[in-house]
Amino acid sequence: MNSNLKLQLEFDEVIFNKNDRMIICFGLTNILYFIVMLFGCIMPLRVGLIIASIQASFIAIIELSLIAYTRYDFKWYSVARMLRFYPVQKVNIRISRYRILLRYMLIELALTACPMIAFFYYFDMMKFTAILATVAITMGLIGIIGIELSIRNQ
Amino acid sequence: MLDTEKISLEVRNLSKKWSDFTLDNINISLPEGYIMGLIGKNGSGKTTLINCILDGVKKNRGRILINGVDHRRVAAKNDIGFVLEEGPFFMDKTLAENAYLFSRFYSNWSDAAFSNYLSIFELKDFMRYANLSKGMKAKFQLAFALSHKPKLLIMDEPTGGMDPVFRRDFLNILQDLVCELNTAVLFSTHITGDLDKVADFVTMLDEGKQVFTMTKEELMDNYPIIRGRKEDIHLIKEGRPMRVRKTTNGFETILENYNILARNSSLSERFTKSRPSLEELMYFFSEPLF
Repeated sequence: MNSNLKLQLEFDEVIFNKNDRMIICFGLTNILYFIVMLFGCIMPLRVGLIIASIQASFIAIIELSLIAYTRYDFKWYSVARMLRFYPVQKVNIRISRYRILLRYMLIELALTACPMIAFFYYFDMMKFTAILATVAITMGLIGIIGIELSIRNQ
Repeated sequence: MLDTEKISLEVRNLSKKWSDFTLDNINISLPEGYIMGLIGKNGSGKTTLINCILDGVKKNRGRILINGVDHRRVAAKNDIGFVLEEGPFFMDKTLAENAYLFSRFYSNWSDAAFSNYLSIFELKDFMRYANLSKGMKAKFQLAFALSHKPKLLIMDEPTGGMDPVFRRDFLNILQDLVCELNTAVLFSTHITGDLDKVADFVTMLDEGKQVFTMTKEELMDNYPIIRGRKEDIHLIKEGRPMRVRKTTNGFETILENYNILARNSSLSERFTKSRPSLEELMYFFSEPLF
């Protein structure tokens, strides 16, 4: 494997596997998310989309915190700050953060979408697809804005 | 300093502004193979200066060169070893994991040297960084820094948490490093006795401003402590006393222009002079708090 990529993946792992308690919180937000999406599917489409986008924003902010958080000094974006002390330009923090965001989003959508697809297959597939798309777009947009702001401010 | 000596660290007109503090126009030149002590009160700007040199914070103005290379470049950082108060290491990882993650950045890294230093410093590689005491963190950072043979070693209060026995060993290590590898060392400390033992140059900062950078000998020769009777204090006004401390029998001070007193033998006889320690110099050069 390309050594730069290997290095970046290792730092992704460091950032990703940083704290068990945070991962548990992340799992709990998934349950909450599942329930809210359930309500979203039962309610009228417009209400469902609003609920889904609010919930997705909430999840995206938690994800951004997870991406940013390390136990190094309990400050945001500290991995990037730590690396400033070392002779390295190889770890591209922006790419690293996007990769982790994508990873979280895929886990998030897979955890909620797979059981729900089965559940709503006979219920309202159109509504479910609309809600899922809203969630993905909202999470993606907030994630991108958050990461870009963090890169600019670090 | 000789003209032919290679400069390891050059800081030119460095300024860094925070909302409530400014590090203003700092100029330092440290040749290889020398030790420079950085002294000053709490909040005088020592850590800010060190962080600027290490590129931990962005400077607003000025140039910093490490062996002639801009300090932000990989080649420059490869030559620097550092010991900081906390240190940019992962708290929840072991010493071995931290070394594994960060050692790859250094072209001169030696695993054997690292293991050797860990055993010398009585550290175990399975210890978690977060669980180390302040002194042990400094030892680990020192082991990490020495394992990539830095040409410039920068340390922020490294001896603060060390026990007196290890502190003495630590000063010997520094001197060996300077003698064997020709490493330049910049370190800040409040324990000025350490600098009395090993420093070649001393830089003092006060409220973000550079008060002086001189060789230790220049400092001791140019700024002796003058003691005299209370009624004689007006006689040395021309020498511009810096900060006057009252004593039971009179006063003591240091003069900005000691030559005035040195040249006038009759005047000189009225006062006693003694070689100052760095701690005393730091006191007399600082702005009084009250």
